[in-house]
Amino acid sequence: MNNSLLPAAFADLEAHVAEWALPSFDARMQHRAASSMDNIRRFYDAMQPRAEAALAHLENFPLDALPAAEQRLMHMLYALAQAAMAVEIHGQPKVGHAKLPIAVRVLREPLPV
Amino acid sequence: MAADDFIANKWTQLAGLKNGPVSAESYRSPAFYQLERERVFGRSWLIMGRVEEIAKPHSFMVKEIEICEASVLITRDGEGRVQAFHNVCSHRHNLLVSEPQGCSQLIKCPYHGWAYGTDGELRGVPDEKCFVGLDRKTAGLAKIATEVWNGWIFINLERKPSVSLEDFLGDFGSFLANMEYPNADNPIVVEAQLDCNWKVVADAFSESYHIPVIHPETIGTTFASTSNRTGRLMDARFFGPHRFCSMYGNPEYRPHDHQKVEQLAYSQVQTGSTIAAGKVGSMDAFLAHPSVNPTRTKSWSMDVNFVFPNFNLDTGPGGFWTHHFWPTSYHTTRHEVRFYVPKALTVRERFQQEHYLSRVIEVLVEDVSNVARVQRGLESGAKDAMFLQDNEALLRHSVHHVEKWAKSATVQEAMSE
Repeated sequence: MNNSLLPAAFADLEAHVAEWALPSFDARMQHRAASSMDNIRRFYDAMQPRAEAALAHLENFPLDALPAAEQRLMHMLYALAQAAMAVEIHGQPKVGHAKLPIAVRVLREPLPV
Repeated sequence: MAADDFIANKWTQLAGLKNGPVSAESYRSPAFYQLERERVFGRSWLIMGRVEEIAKPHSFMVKEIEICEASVLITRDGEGRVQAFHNVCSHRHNLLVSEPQGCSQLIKCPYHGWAYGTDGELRGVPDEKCFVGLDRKTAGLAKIATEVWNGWIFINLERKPSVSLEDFLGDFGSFLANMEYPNADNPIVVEAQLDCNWKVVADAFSESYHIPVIHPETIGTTFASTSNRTGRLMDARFFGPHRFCSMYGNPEYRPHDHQKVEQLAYSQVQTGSTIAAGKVGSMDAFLAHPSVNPTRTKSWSMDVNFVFPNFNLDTGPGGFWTHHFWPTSYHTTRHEVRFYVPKALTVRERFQQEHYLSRVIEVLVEDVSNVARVQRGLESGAKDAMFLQDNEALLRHSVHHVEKWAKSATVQEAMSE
């Protein structure tokens, strides 16, 4: 049995899975907002150069029935979108004057989650 | 276009109002809130949602109207009819349904097991023989006046509404009639509990003057440019208590070079995929509606259609989205937002939706993180009035009509010219 957290070609990203491959939008958003910029940047710098390859790999599977390792990789991509808010837009982990936890909650996410 | 081309200084006049300071009392007065409960929310037609939320026969949903202490059960019965009821068991008035939605031919009270059909009729009473003289026909769920208009479910909490929905909407109904609603069956649902009066947050989504200041990094450069630095409106129209405006959009906006993830997320959109092509057709009918981007400009970001008292229907190049501003006390609000998106069919489409949602949530966070500060400022009592500029005419119009409804003994008086 294969116990890899991520598809073999993405094994180098496994160190980030526990922290970033979170299964809901709110969990990813709150985690990013509460993280330090250094922490977000470490993940962004590791994941961003692999994002195109990850999308290309995931295109080989049905979107609504990803195997477990592929599902984690998809959640890592979603987390990258969160990291991009800090790195590419705010230049800080969250909206400067926002309080933690963030007051906005997503009750129904885009599907599939 | 030069900057001054966007100076109108006519919106306030079009709204039938005069320039000058606007009283802050309706935003901070507990006594005024009681009037809003009885005379604004208690007498207006209120949009509760769309028919797609209860698409199947025998499906239902529960919506709360905190200001009126109403729990509303909206059903589609076996015949396909949509009807709202008070979500209250006839027996001992227990709240009947506790989940936000469901689908079942029988709705059973969790207290003593009284059961109702989705048509509101009482269908089952355990140990009925012991209820001497009970007439099932008079013991169904309490109906609430309901109308479905262009797929929107409206209710009115008056037992006998003083005004028909048609008259309530008036010319705004003609303005919005027959709009197509792409992806109406697939909303992203967002909620925030806010420490401000409901009109403070409604105001935040009714003007674009704040956008370059509060949203400099998220959407500042999409809603403003060197030719319109302060988000001056393209158009504004007023229909009785309802209102509309069209906001400027920077047609030159592109992601910066360093925004690699944004570029990746949107790369499919730029190159055009076969699936996006399939969806372009359905978006065309929506965008062709005469009241979507009515000035037909390329410099367009979005329109706000504000249905009195508390519903905001926004339209933009990518579809429509909505805001509900539900008062929960004179200085707290439950803010509900729905973004209607296509069903993602590919990994890349789904990734793009995640990036899109991440970004619009940041914009919402920027807006709603500020509203508590506004409320504190209002409640400090430092000032009696606010200064509103011409491009904030929708706010002035809002205060005017809420105050008018609050002080009018009858709906006819509130709706009079």
